[in-house]
Amino acid sequence: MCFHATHEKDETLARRGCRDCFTVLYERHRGAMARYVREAFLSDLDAALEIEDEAWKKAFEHRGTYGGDRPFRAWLIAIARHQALNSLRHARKAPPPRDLLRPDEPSPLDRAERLESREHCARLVRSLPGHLREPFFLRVVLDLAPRDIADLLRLPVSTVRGRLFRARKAIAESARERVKP
Amino acid sequence: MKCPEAQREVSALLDGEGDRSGPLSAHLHECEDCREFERLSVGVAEGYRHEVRSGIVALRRLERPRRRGRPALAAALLLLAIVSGLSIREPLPATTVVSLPAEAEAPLVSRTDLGLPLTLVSDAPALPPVGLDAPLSEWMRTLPIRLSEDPPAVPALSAEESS
Repeated sequence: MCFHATHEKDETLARRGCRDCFTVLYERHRGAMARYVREAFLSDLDAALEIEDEAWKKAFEHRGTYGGDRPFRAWLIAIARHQALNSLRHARKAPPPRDLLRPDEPSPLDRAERLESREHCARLVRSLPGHLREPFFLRVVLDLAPRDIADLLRLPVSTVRGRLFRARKAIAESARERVKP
Repeated sequence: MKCPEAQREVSALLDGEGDRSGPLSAHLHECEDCREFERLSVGVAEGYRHEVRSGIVALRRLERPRRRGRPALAAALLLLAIVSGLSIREPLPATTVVSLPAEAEAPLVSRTDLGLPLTLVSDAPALPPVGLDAPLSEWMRTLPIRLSEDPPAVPALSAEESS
């Protein structure tokens, strides 16, 4: 077992490239790519897990290409994104999974609490169009900086900033509409 | 400073850019709409982050859902393996050793009845005889250690079991 594996940063382990180091990276980040695919593309869990599996294989095969110039997480997500676009491009467009878009239910919580509840927050985000939802996910959940998101999505940084702002604006407007009497 | 500009600056702040400058701070102090925009942006992001990250934790604990057809195929292969006696056998007990103790005896009369070789391997101790009515797992213990030897015939079902 590589002695330094468990104590190093992601970028160091990825540049080292040994199997043990990659195993540590896998343990740290597994599940994240599947969740990204589910949230960004509203795919079902099975497809998302398969895409993550393929992405990990590709990441390991091409670990020598990671130069450390961007966060490892961003590099990993770029691979997952590429896999997801390839897979989902050919798949029949399916309706979003039911468990991601729950129907409105009468809530016993008062309006302020309902607004803040996690499920409600997730519903607000998932109602965004894809081109706003994806950068929002990358920023809020994976903590990627706008320039890393821009690099990953192959967009100008100003476009990414604009989309993040529009996502927040849309979320705030939706949230206000639900709170209004 | 007007609201659209103030809200863009709030958004930039949330992305780790810019600073809470004098004009922005003064505007937020006076404008309830922009304060609410900031509060909702932070609150919803926080709620969404928690929801998704707890989903990632749940995913890591999740037993992988099987692909369609795989369970049936796996079951068919397993059954085939059991019937042919080629690859499935329980681990041998600890007493299975390479060297033959001096006092061990080779012949297994009941095993001859089943058509089994007299000894499994020349350097293994004798295993207890297994009757035709033994359960499958017990019968599987009698499988030869060396794959080059012929496996035993599958014991026939008794009249009770076949009815």
